[in-house]
Amino acid sequence: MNCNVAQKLIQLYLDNELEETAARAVEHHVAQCRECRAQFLDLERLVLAVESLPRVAAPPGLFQRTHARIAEYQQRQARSWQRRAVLGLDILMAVIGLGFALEAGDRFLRSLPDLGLDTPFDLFNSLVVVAVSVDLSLVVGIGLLVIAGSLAILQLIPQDHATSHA
Amino acid sequence: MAQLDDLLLEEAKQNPAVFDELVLRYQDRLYNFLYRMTGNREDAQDLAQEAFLRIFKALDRFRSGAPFLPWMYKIAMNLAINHQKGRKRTTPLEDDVPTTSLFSSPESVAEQREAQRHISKAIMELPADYRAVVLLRHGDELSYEEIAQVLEIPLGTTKVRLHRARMLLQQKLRAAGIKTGDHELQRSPKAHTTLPG
Repeated sequence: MNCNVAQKLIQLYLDNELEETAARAVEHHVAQCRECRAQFLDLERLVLAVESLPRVAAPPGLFQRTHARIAEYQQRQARSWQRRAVLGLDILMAVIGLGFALEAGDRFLRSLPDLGLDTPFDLFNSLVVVAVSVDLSLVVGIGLLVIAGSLAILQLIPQDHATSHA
Repeated sequence: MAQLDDLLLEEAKQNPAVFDELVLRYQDRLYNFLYRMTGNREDAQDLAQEAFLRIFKALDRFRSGAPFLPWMYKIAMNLAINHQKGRKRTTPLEDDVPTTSLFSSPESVAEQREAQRHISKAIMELPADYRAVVLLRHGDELSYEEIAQVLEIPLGTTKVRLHRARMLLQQKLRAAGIKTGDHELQRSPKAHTTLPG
């Protein structure tokens, strides 16, 4: 083994990454070559020096703070699913409500030619008649739209989140 | 150990309370790594919490049977590197407890503490990717393959990077006049020492 090869293998030797045959070859070369031996000892001392640094333990309370952050995340996830469910209900109600309202509006527009509107006063009279007749579809439709809109507004209001950092 | 990790991870996917066991099992290693990466205790605490939270969030996506340690360190390392960007690097606190025998003289303890302070400082001065590979190898005893998985680089590149990191460390220590062979340095025991208050 020459110095060029040995110097490339010294790191692997110190890291116990060489097979038996190669490791013995490195040992043999280092024992006989002063320059490679110096490099070997330098690297070995460096490794030892770095590995002599004490390992620090996690400070007291780290586990509890970590647990609390994860618990908070789980609660946010649960609230998020609740909000999605309510939003879905919002959309459904809004669609149904819009359907009722459009149906009522369509019937109103179809009835206009039969009302005999010759003067603006006739239009006023006709509107009063329609309103008084309490069209159920219109009431249901507007009611659903109001409820859906209210729920949507409530969902848009930001939730008050607790601070997550310890 | 790897089999126990697999069991804990699979169980944690179904029962989040089991995740606490993983935290207890690895918080010392993770905190130590982040402390050595950032040089700051408070940052290491914050990043450790964030790392465990990210691991928890990604549990469902973690492939069963894959090694847990490289994945954990990858998350921690990315957090540490992103955290360091744009922040002024801090030097480690002088609170490293030298690992010495009962028969060490006070002078020897002082010299060893000084040497370890320089070593810590030299490690902190390495580029983040070199620092990570040194810490993973010598602090956490990961294999070359595991380090390659953490850094997401080929095995050959890992060996080269480790070699260069060591050479750079040697240069810094020589420049500081530190001779690493002059003291009876011992490898730190695997049991952790608590930082003095």
